[in-house]
Amino acid sequence: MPPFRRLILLALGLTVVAGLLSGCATGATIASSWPGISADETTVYVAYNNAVSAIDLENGVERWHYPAEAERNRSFYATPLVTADGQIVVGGYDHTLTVLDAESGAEIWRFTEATARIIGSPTAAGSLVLVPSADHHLYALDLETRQVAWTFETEQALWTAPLVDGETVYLPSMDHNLYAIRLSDGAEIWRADLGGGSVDTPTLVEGTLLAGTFGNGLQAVSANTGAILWSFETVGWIWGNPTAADGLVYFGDVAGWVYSLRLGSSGEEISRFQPDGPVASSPAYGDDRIFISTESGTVYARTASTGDPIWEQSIGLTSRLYTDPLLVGDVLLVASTTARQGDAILTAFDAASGARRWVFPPPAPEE
Amino acid sequence: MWDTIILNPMINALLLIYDLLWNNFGLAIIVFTIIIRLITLPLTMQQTRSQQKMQQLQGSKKWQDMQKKYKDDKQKLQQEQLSLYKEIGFNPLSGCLPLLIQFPIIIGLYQAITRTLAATPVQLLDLSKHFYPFIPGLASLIPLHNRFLWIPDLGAPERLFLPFLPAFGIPVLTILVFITTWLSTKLTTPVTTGDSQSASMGKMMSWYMPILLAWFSYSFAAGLAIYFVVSNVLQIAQSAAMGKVNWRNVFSFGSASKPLAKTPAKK
Repeated sequence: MPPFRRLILLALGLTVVAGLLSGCATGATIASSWPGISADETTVYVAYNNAVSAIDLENGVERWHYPAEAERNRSFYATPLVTADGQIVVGGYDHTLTVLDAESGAEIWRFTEATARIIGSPTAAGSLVLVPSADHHLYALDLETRQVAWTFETEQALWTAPLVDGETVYLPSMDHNLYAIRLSDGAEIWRADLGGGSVDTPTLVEGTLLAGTFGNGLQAVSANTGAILWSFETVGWIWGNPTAADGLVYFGDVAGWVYSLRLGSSGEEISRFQPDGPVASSPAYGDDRIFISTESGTVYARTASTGDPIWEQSIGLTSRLYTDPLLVGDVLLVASTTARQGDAILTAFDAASGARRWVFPPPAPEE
Repeated sequence: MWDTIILNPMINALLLIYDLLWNNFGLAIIVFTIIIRLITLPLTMQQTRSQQKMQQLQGSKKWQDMQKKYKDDKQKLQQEQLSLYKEIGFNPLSGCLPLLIQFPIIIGLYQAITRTLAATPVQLLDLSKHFYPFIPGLASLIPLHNRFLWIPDLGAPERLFLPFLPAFGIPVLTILVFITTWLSTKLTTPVTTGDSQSASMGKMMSWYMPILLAWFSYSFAAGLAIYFVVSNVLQIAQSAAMGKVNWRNVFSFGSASKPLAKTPAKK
């Protein structure tokens, strides 16, 4: 083959490579995370892609969405915080934190001092809102004065909401540490090396913090001292932290196992079962029922005390479930990471029977 | 299939090297590139030999006579060329494999770099599925340190912001990729003879390649640009070691220079 033809072949090949790389890059920006959902007695708030939506809990009808027109550089995935005084606080991938009026969806103000994405949900703590940012900082923000009260820096990104218990803030970081911080001034009390990154809010049960990790199983940490009390080895990474249910804790891993442990001086395994796919979400619990969702799009309802199956529902082949299911009264809300435009983002099930009540957005009418 | 053959081995190899190299992802990419070049060395040498053989063939009297004799009958010329290839035992496609093998490596490396430096939950969740379970401790390396030299994030396009020029980011790696690709093309591509179409095509390509790879570097992960720079430098070094570098080419911006060898091809 003459050299110039070889060069043409190389050029054509590299042009194809350019197209493929461009495709990869574009694809990565379509949905970089899963929906964040929260609710009050009447309304569900969903942050997903370019919008934050308020949806009627009763019938799935949208009340408002923000912003009115999608803005190219703004996307929202962090679970919206509903404050006691009727505000919605939501973090964005544009590094900003937006405060909205819960009734109308009107923007009240924006916090713009973070320098990286806000992936984790803000947490309310008295007059403060604690905002984790991928810029390694936790911002303690006073909503009334709109001033930063203090910041706390870790060595890696913060992807999850901190847990507040009294005057102590517990903060998991991607730098493998779980930090205990004084709420009043942001001073570090202790840190515990979890041996792996942790991306979900720890669960506090009777003075023990339970934190899932990447590659190092479940770690039980003393809330007082930060000492590791015991560890539980899992098959895969733990993304969604355990849910406490009547003396037991339930959690899943991304290898596709769901575990139940009895707490005590150690985490005694009671049972495990293998659903139809990886589990990245924390289970929901209520009325002796535990609800588990899988990446494959199936929701499992089981009796918490015995593990007996109650019902099982699939939401469809193209949608994936990574968001924690949310139990509000007798309604179980499941948010989907959608693959196609128009796919349902939110599905409401009857928690007792598994019957589907509504989906949002509603399916398009058949022509 | 793609994941099993290309992506998973690359991700796990990159992580292992990263672990060995004091958690420095930039160094891991450089060492990974060297390993890839060593693995593909037999193919590269085959390509070089093929180029050399082709060059010798084009310089031979028989080839030149054939070009003149059948200059008005392209089909016949092609038949005669194929007969000549057969006669001397030369496969004109033998130089293609080293080129074709570059493409999955470039795509795979780009994916491996961006996935291991997962910056979003979906990417990180996806990364967890690519780990080999039989290599313990890899998960504890996550998240990777994505800084290298002046580059703040190896998973994003690189720009250097100088204190006196804060509003304009200089794409240093893009410039380095352009220069090294141009040098590599100029120094290691054999010059064509006689055929003016080939010569002009070769000249065009010596600019097309640096521009295309520079565009890749400008638009995609800085880690990929590091791969290009190291790969180009190794290509030049390898050719120099084999005595196949023609330094005069660097200074010839006009017509193609004379071929390196004109001896007839041997069986």
